[in-house]
Amino acid sequence: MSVDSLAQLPYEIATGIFSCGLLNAADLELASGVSRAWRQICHDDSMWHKAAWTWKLVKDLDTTLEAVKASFIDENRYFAPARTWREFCIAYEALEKQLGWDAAAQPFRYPDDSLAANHGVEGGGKALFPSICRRFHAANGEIGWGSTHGVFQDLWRMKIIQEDQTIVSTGKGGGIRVTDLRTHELLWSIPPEMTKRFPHLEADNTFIVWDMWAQNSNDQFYVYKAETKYDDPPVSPRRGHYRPYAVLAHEQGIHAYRFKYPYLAAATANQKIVFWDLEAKQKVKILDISPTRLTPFSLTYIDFDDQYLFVTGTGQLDIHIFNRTSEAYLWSMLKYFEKGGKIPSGFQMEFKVPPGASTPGRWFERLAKTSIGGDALGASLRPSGVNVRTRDTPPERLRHRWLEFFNMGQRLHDIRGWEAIHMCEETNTLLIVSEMVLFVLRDYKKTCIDPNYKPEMLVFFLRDPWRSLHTPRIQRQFQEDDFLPTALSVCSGRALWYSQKPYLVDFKHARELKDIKVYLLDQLTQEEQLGHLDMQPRDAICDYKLSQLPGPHYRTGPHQCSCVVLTNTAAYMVEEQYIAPTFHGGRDSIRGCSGPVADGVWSYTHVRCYDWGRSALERVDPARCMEELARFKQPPKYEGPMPFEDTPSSAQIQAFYRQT
Amino acid sequence: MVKLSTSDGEEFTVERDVAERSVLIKQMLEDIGESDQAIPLPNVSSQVLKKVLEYCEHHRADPTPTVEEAEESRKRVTDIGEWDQKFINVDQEMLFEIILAANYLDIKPLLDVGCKTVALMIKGKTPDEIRKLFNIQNDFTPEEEEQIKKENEWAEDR
Repeated sequence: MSVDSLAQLPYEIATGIFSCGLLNAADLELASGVSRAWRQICHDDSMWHKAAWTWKLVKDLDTTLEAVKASFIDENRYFAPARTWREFCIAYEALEKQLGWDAAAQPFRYPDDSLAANHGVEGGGKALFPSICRRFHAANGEIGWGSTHGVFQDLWRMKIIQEDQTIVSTGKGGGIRVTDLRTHELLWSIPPEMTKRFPHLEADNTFIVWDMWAQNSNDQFYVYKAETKYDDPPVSPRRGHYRPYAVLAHEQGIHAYRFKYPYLAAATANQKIVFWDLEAKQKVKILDISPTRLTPFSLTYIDFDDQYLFVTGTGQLDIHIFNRTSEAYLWSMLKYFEKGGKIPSGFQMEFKVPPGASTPGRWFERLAKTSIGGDALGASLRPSGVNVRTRDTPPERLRHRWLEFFNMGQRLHDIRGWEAIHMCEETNTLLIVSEMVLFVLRDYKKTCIDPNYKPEMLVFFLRDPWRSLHTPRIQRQFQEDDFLPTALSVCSGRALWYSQKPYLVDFKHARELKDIKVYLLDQLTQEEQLGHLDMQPRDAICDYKLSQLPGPHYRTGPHQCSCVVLTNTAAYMVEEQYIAPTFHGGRDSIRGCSGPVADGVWSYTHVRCYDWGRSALERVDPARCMEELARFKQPPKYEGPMPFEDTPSSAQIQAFYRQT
Repeated sequence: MVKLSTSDGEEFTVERDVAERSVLIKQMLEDIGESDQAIPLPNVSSQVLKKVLEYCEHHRADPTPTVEEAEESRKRVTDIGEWDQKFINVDQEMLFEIILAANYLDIKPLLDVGCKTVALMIKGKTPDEIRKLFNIQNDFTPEEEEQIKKENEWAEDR
């Protein structure tokens, strides 16, 4: 006679066994097929709730499913249909598996095999390659300055508005568009003359805000508010439509800026960070950052959370943290090393360096030996400046354009340094990137609170770009004022870092520094690319075939990336590729997003999107996935001329601002 | 010293701190105070109690976790300790007896070890394998089974 000992256990113990954290959702689902008694236990949703807790999906058992779903950035709403903890956990696990973040994690692979050989890289695994990749709209050919209003001429920055399921994007030539996330239907737009060129933009589901010249050559912010968010909404507020809300003027030039509802923080030319409350249309704080000695020329990026303000600059040690409330200057890498701080832990990547070569490691060795202090500090140490002459100020011939350059990437074109800083509150981690360098600082909150705390720090150095780029063949292309744009986006314990190629940094479950992993999101091969194109292209970009491109140079050429967005279920990259008769089409051809290209050189901009949310869906719910695919396949709805009737004309807008 | 008597009438004499690993016994001792009377444990056989006491003996010096720590350790998925692994390497019947006893005597860490051991037995197995392992009758109709198989296709593909 068979006795099912497990089913005989008190119910609470039986559910305890299944929710102890050692079994994953797949195990639980298989166990539910054992017998009726087991099925009952395995389909108990409170058991799944407890399991979600042991898997650290929820903070405590009071957290509701709706709250967890709301905390996800899930713009495609893959998790929306989950009605029970069981459905949610299954979807979540499928997603994690899709990312290769299950137990058997794959090791880092060097970006390029030939380079790997040169550097004596050993081993190497498979690059992370999510199975569904799609590209969407893109430029149609040459970069058009002053392109016609609202047309998909080019793409520079993008933000995803989850609530509305829209993308707010800007074009290199200026202008702002709001399009549907799935169909790319144009919903609303701002003409190019209303923005600078290469406009940076901040947006959430309430506001979009961008900077613009003011008449006295200072800057001002234009703030638009979503129609749906007005207390007294216009007749039937429309999704993706915004109305002019405020103009925020400042008596100084504006550099880097960042918006987190309801605060907008902007670095100004007089070494201040100005905070505005957008709802109230008021300046709420002016924070003095002059102790950092960062000038408009050397400040590169800012970010903030509820407590802290983070600022980076061009110097190797220019990572600064302020308290937002008390305005105290809490931490800087400079101060840290002055006090004899430990050198960050070594590199995750293992590779042999040829004898005698300058190694990435020297960077920090040298840093330790250099006597610290004095004005020369920022100038003498550079993340990537192993063989390169560097300067603190742009060359004379570029000086008049520096403001514009700033706007291009919240950074100076001619100066190398830290290019972005973001924190992850969930994991209490700070990430800072420059070309080829990723710097990770763990437990930044403790670092800020306790001046004697020695934070764990880690540096990833992809490779020495200058050494490999300074081969005779490519040397002409890479002059010292060229740079390889770097972009960073952080979401829920993971970061998407684009430095020539896209990398995913996973520190979500890292208990120690060495648990942090970097994955390369590999390029698609030609077959894969064609096989995975699930949206039929409308214009030139999508018609290209790799075989028609001009040979190997194309493939080895660096990709330019002006913007990345990471969400819980997908990664988006605004990439630009140059297609020239030869790769050496002229120096400008490599400078990428920064300007018009030489004759005969074509640039294509697209958004590359790794949509692991949908791959996961395909795995657990193929039927729903087919529905989703069908929705993606719907062609964009616009036909012929763009629907501009809705869009305020620039004359109207100008009139509005004159009134304000 | 504390005396314990089992369901089959056997008496065990153990030191107080060993016995107090069990929250149930600890509370009883607090209620009745020290006495020569053996504490009756009608739900535990001598064979099982012997095993449980072996565990308590080994873990007698472990600090008693506070409530928060206990909650925290539940959340932390840790492997089973080396000694515990050897200790719990018993036949299935004994394993479930230990779990029941640990539950009755309220010995959280032991219950945890038992549950995790069972979980590890289940992990990565197909329903067929689990049935074989635990000697369970498949009480689904063929139609139901077909349905379940279809639903769980994704889980088997790993």
